[in-house]
Amino acid sequence: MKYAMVIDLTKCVGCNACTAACKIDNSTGFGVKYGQVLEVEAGRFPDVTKFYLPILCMHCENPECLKVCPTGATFRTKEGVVLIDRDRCMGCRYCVVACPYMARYFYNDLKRPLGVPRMDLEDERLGTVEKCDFCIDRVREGDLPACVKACPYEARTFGDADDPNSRVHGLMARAKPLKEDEGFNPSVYYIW
Amino acid sequence: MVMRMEPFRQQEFGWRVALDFLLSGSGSSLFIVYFLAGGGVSAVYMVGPALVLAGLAVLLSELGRPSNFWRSIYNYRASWMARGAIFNLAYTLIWLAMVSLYALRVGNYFPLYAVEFAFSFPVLIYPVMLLYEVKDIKLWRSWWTSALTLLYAISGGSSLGAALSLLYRSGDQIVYASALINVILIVFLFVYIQELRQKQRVYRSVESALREMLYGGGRALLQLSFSGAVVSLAMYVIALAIQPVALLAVPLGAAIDLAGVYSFRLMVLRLGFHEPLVSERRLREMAEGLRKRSGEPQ
Ligand code: SF4
Ligand code: SF4
Repeated sequence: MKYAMVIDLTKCVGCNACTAACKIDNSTGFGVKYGQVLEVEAGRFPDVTKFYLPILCMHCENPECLKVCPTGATFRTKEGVVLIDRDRCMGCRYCVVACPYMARYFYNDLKRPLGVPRMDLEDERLGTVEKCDFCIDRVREGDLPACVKACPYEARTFGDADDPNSRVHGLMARAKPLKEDEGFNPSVYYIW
Repeated sequence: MVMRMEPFRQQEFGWRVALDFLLSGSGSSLFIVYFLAGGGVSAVYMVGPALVLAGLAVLLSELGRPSNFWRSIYNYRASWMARGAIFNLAYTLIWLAMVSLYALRVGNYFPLYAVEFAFSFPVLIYPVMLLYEVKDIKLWRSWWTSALTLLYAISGGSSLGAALSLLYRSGDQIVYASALINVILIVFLFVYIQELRQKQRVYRSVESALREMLYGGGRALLQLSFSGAVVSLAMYVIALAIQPVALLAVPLGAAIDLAGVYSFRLMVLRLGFHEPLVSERRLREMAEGLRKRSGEPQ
């Protein structure tokens, strides 16, 4: 089993419903987004194409974050999901620096403006690194990740890439990941 | 048609990490240089590891929870961050043994000096490898950046060694060595810029780093790194030529040199650009594909 996500850029309208759903579901703090939607402009006026590029942790098969983590806090499950064991993380941030997809956040009081209170889970997250976990707890119970459920245009498809009957498996045939040639082998693919 | 998505910069490693690199690099290379030069003053041998310890303290203050430093040792996984923690710790423990023997004035220190000398090399090298390990930051993953980072560390250590050796009047061979290292450093810096100019044709992140270095915010740091090496070289030459002035010129040159070393460290960290999320070729494909599918005119 290997979980993967395919994002259809032709369907994404940049509404950020996924970003909001992720923030609510994970109770993330100020300025922390496990997933975000980038606005991309290509070309020069008047020949310009604008589109939206949702990004999140790519759950790489060959993750740089895992390679550099000195404590083993970052690990990869049998389902191909890259997770962080908060109790092992020492907050060195080497993984944040090494991640090629800007997917990790360090929880630090200094980053929050004065007067903005901590979120529910921030006390225990403080001094550690967090990121998207493909909503693995929900997924293991048969549900879908929050961003996938929230997308009103069904731009995101999630499932088992190893299952030839899954929708995600079918879509992956014509989808490509970001930074494909670098050897990170991400589990998030894009269709355009 | 312009298709660009900009490289993005790492934001996590900043002035404190640069300070740790400065202290551990200069401290360990001070020990190496002084040992090789056959310096006989025990007090000087204590300075280098003390600087490494200070660097470790700075690094600990940077961790999410400084007490978690032990996690890197208990949950050891092969990574240069973990190796760095272990080398630094071992280095500090040997230093403590040295200080104890020195304070009690018992025993022969030489075997401990020799062990500390051997450990100085990994302590010197780990910051270089720490940066080299980050695959997606091409500026860091360049042997030239590594070589120059190492040279700067040696230069900082030998400058400190020169200042201390004059203070303890233990000869000026380290001043000669410092001057020579600075000459090599200046030549390397020129070659480095040329090398980056070559690399920018292949890597967008290197192009951004070079642009920042030559025309942007990194420029002041580059100038400081360069002028630090040049001015301190001039100071050493003056000191060697007019001996009575030496006592003033050498520490001054060492201080300027260390400022240059720190600037270089900071510059390299600040210019840690990742490759863009979407390459130019891929961006073109995406734009064309999306236009086709949305029925826009080609
Ligand atoms: S995207 Fe970054 S954080 Fe996620 S698995 Fe890959 S390297 Fe790790
Ligand atoms: S911050 Fe935590 S997860 Fe990241 S490399 Fe350090 S110990 Fe590992």
